[in-house]
Amino acid sequence: MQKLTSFFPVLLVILVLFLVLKPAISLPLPGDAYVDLQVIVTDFGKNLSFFYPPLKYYVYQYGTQFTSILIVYKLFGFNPQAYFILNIFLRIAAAVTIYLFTAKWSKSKLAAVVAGIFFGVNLPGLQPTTRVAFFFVYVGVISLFIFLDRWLKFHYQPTGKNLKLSALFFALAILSYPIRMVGIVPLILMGEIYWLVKNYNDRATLKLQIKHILALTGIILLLVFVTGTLSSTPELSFKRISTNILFISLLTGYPPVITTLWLFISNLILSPVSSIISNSGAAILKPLTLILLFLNTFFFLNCIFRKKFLLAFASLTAITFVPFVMASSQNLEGWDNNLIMITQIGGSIFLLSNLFLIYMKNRNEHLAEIGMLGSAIVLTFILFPWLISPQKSSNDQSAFNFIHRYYTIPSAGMAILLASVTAISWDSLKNNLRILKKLKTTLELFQLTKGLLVLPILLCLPILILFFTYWHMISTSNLLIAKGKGADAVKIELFWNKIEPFLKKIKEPPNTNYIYIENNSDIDEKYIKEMIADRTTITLRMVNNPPVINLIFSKQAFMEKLNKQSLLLRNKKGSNDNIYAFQFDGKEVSDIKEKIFNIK
Amino acid sequence: MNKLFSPKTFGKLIVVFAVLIFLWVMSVTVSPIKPHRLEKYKLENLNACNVDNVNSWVSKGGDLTIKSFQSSLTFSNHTDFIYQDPSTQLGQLEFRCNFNMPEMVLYKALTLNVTYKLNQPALFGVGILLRVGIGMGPIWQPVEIDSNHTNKVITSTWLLNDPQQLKFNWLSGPYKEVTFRVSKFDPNKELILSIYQVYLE
Repeated sequence: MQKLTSFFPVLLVILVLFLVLKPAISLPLPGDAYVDLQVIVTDFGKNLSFFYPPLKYYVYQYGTQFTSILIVYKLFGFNPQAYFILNIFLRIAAAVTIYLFTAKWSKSKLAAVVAGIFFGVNLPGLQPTTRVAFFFVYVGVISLFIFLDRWLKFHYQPTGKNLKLSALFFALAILSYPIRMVGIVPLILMGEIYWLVKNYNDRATLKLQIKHILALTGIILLLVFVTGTLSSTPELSFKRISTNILFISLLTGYPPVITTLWLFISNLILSPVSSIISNSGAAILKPLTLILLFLNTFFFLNCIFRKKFLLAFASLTAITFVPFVMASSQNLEGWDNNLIMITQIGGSIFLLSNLFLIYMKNRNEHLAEIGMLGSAIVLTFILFPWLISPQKSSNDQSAFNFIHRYYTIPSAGMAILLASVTAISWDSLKNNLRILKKLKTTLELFQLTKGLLVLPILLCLPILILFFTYWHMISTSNLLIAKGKGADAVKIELFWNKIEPFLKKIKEPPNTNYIYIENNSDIDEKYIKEMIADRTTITLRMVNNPPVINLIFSKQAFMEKLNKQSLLLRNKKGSNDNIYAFQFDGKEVSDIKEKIFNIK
Repeated sequence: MNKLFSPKTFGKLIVVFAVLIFLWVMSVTVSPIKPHRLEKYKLENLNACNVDNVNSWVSKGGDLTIKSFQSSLTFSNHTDFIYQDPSTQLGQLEFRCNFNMPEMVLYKALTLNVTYKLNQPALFGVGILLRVGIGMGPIWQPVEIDSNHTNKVITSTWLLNDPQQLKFNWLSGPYKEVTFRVSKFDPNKELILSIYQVYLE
């Protein structure tokens, strides 16, 4: 029985995530998925052979991404349900990995449950699920946390065996999804410096630690200079802001690029594209800003009262953050009020959480260290998206697209940070209550009142974090439900299966193919539009010379188009085979070309 | 001595330094220190193309003749681009000049300017490219030259920090090329373009 109850928390994580992500199962393949599928024809050739690309392909920046898409395409074709079920399975598996990692190293089931759920329902990191073909990001998350587990194991028990395992899983984590793992390099750099300083006086450990650093450095050099896995691509070199200019911008505030970094971090806590923000943004955001101003002040006073002057000095960052962002808003080109308030709230929560963990470090070192590891993951993995889009941009590849694959790994870091804060607050509250029950002397009562200043933080931070988790749950679920409107995946697949045989005869360029579809079903025409040209291109392997398809849904517009191209008269004689006309009633696709042209 | 270099002291120093840096970085966002203008740079560093050197210009396809003219009396050095074969070269003419534009100059500069003369109405556009041969960089909206402005020396100006492509999203290092695109309106007429100066301001 006890064994069964020990599974309850992980089952809770799985159940919550399944309920939130379930609407995705009935979604059709999105237009972006076809873009990813077309790449496999380019990369693996017309026969989609694993032997077509050179061996180096499998260790290049996007190798595993497109190899995984090819495998799934070979197994399931265009079946959207298969893609989404696999995707949701992997997302839940990644959340369970985060759960297990947090439970093991923080020794807190509460922290583990919050971390698993927060990652799984996080709206900004959802793109690999909505775009569906990027499912391998979740395998990347799993391998990252397996490496982090081995990494911590080495630092807590430094032995030769643990060193080898840490180095091996480091290489595997990078190779699992190189382009998303660039942040791992600054992450281990920060971590290794931390442990070097911490174990400064322990000579025996220091020797092994230096060997460990050398091993990781060797792997990085190998992956940069020999395999090219971690080297920059021409596209990335063009997009990344120059280091000199970045430093000058940071020191002069022109333009205020630092605020963008805070916005990206804040997006992980409260996303501006959430349906809740668009409906009632200001009503929720304004009170939150005020609450955080009070909490930050309480924290500062508490540190002064407890004579933790260095921490009080550090808490000036949190206290001044909201006013700084408010005052700089006039220099933030294209930012609306919601973005400014979200930056204030998210940045404050992030700063306060870190300060709070440092404050509580002596009471629960494990939780505090795991929380700070979460912070480090956020910062290091958000660094590169920030460097390629330091100012507001409408580019689809910018992190200003607030639901993006760039946020998936940082969302895992944020989940661990916030989960640690929740668990540490809960433990501290329980502890205070226990002391209260056993109070005997006035001196003890006085000791307890000293802690009263931190009480609002102990109470409010976990409540806010639970609220943010609930917020993400609702926003993610709403987004997936909204995506399913007018998109009956079963009918769309039925339509494709019926029309595909006709499209096999489609003409290559320079011919233009004119297709009229009389859509009498309830499918939104945009899904038919997205599907026809792209699926035909992939099925017929015409990626290098894609067919030109003019798809028209109105009979009148179709006739006018043909008339304009002087094709109508010729077609009446039945001579044009680049003209098609179909009718779809939701069950059957019929060829109506003869009927509409009265060909006898 | 030992205490001074202990990890704890080192950690405290890092915290103080990090907090001060944070406060500085956040406070300058309120009233940014705008960069000094370009006065301190020599004129040759502000030129974005060399109109005196015909070898620094490259035609990207098309049948193009490039001629440089130098006149020490009138100070009207310029390069002529003559579109020789109008019957086979419809559409867009594209050519580039190789020139090193340091990132600091681009950071401080506000505009890219071209002084030129066209013999017929056309669309005239420019862009800058990060590396020679790799076409990555910002391309600005072309200006339409109507018949009132043909056969006259005119200057067109483009904002480097265009709201559509903000400077700090493309300022990734020194730029190596300026690219020009001209779409003439009359396909049957020979196009002659004279460029007098390309410069940053």
